[in-house]
Amino acid sequence: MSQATATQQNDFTDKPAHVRELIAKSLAERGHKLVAHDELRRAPGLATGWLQFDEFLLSGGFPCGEISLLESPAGLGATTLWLDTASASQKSGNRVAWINAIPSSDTAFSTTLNPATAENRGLDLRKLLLVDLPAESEGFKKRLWVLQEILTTRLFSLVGCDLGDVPLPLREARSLLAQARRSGAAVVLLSRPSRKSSPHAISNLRTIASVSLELQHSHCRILRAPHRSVPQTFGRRSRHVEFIAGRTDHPSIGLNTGLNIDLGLALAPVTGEFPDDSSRRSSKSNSRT
Amino acid sequence: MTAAGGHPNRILALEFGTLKPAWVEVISDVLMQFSPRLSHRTVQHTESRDVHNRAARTSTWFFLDLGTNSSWISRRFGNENKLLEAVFAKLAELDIEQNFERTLKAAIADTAPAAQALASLYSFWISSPGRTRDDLDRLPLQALTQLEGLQAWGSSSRLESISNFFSLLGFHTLGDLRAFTPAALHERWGAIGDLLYRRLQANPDLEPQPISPYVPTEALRSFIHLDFPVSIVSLLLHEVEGTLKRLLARLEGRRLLARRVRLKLRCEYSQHEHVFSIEPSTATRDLRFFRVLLENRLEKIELLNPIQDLEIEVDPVPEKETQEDFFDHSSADDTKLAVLISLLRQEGAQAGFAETRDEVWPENTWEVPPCFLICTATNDTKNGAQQENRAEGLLDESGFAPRFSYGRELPNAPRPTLLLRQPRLLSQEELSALHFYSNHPVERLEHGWWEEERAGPGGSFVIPRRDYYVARDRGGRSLWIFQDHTSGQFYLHGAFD
Repeated sequence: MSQATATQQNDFTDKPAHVRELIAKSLAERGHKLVAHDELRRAPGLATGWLQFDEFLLSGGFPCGEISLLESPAGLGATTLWLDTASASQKSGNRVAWINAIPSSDTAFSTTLNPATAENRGLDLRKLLLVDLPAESEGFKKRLWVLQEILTTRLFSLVGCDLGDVPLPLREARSLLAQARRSGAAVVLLSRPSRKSSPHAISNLRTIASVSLELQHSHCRILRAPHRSVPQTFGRRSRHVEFIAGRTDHPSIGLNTGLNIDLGLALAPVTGEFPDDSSRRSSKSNSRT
Repeated sequence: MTAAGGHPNRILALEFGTLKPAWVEVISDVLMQFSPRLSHRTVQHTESRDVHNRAARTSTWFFLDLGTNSSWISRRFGNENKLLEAVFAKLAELDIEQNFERTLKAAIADTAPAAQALASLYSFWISSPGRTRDDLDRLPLQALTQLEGLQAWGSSSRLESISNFFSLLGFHTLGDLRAFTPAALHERWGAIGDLLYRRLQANPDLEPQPISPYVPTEALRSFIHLDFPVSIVSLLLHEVEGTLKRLLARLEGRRLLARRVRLKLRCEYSQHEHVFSIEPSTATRDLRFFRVLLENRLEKIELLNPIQDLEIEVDPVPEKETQEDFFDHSSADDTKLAVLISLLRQEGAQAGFAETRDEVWPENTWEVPPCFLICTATNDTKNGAQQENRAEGLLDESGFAPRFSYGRELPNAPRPTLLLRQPRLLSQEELSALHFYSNHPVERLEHGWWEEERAGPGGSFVIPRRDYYVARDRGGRSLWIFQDHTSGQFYLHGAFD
């Protein structure tokens, strides 16, 4: 980043004018200056297809050569977000890779990506490398190595890794970030917080991630995004699920027509205005509610 | 012996210096790619005329019947000159120069004896088909001892006396001996005189020397003893690479591919053995490929003591006969992917590109095949065939039979993004915590209904049936639940993540 960039995380647009002037003066003494968002050099990114999210991020999606963190229990749409990004990336001729969560005897919810669903969402399975790590401790030891090997080939534009409820240690995450920057691939880590997850480990991981997104049932929060005011909260809006609304000819499905089911991502900012002060106010009011 | 077209078979003779038995096997395997019919013979020479102080020297001759593979040779190499160059190049890859006392000699002629004599005199000679006799005529009388081929002269001293006899008469070349009739040669030297006449004619019909197909019996295994034990990976890799290269060259001759390479490294002091194997995702003979896999593996081994002995063994598989294509589909990316997948599999991870299958149970609707290269090549064809089957079905004399695809017929069905590795039985307590979006299932799957017909109306067969529901738990997660029709119990099968 050039000397013109004021800071990595904040554009100070939420500050009063006199405060901004003071900050600008202080930065000028150190050879920096404040610039508008439009003047910033946009890092390349992979569009997720979720317009509000893509527009919010300067990179226009998951940033390439960086780590993005999705914090969400299984069943709230994180995988769908990754699949949609992968599908769009594949359409540009790129390969993508997915690493399943390590099967653990403690976890009752040990899952794998369903390739049939991925194919139905438009993914070309011939360009989707699937990796299943061995169970338990062996898998945890090899997780970073597998990620690094995948990145070293520079064949993949997007790499997704379901961390389950055991996040990467800080040291490993730093090593991964260095490798991601060398390869230029967008690395998306899906963390499934549970009771046994260490909050300290997750917060460490957030500091490494360029983009951090927390998905909840009622809302989602962007906890970290370059050059943006964070946290930013978006409300989740239920929608009619396509398979129900569109397949009324099916006898059993027809009975269910009209149900509101929150599957996948149906997200919209509450006000639609961001990242100015009004958006911030509305997000604060959302978080209070 | 002449080929069907009337042209004589062509014989390639190659002379090497003194060879260790292990090298004979290696060279035989490598030469098999030029002709399956090959034979070798070791000849002992004496350097000194002093009977009590004769230094014995051996040379090994290899004979290949090129007539067996003539069409392939002409298509692959164009002419015999280029074929010989290819043979030399292939042998040079084995680092042959540093292992042999003498330079390699080769000749192609109509008969094996003529090819041997021409090779021993000229080092590199190709006789025109049907003109071998003219080439032989120009050879000096000393070449008579080399006119053997696959069958040696009975007694070398007797040949020397024959050669001396003609020399005393003032003959200098083999062509000068044409003045003698077969009866004259027979009268003076008997059977060996007859043999001499036939070999001088260079006519395979007069003295056929058939070469049988070579059947390799030696295991694809190499043993290396290091005089200076090494503990540095790069040096160790260098030692292994040369041996591996020769093993892969042998595989090429045998038309085999390496499925697995086993290595045994023995330490110098502790005699501890490091045993491991490298198994690529697809059988191959690519040395570069194995080198990467090997390097990666060796770096992970903790060498407490230097390595003194190495043993390398290759598990082969036959290569598939494939029609040569005008377009080479393989690319550097494919090699990278193959290496990556092999590396991951070595470490116990399942890696590859999934393929969907037409199965009823959702957990069986996909698989990761073991060999990704074949899959990527055939996937288009397979999908195309399935599309075709869907549209047309199977039409035979009994009528039109539509072919159904179960798993693929529900592209819009509510299938979750995450599947449990095994459906998990839900307890009553867990079930009560779930909120079902509907009392009616969103999908019903039945498997094996055709078995009921087979069992008959009175049979005890119950069709396995699953009714799938979408439910939400207290955390707001959308889950995929099914009720097993047989037991009535509910199972968690996936999550709409």
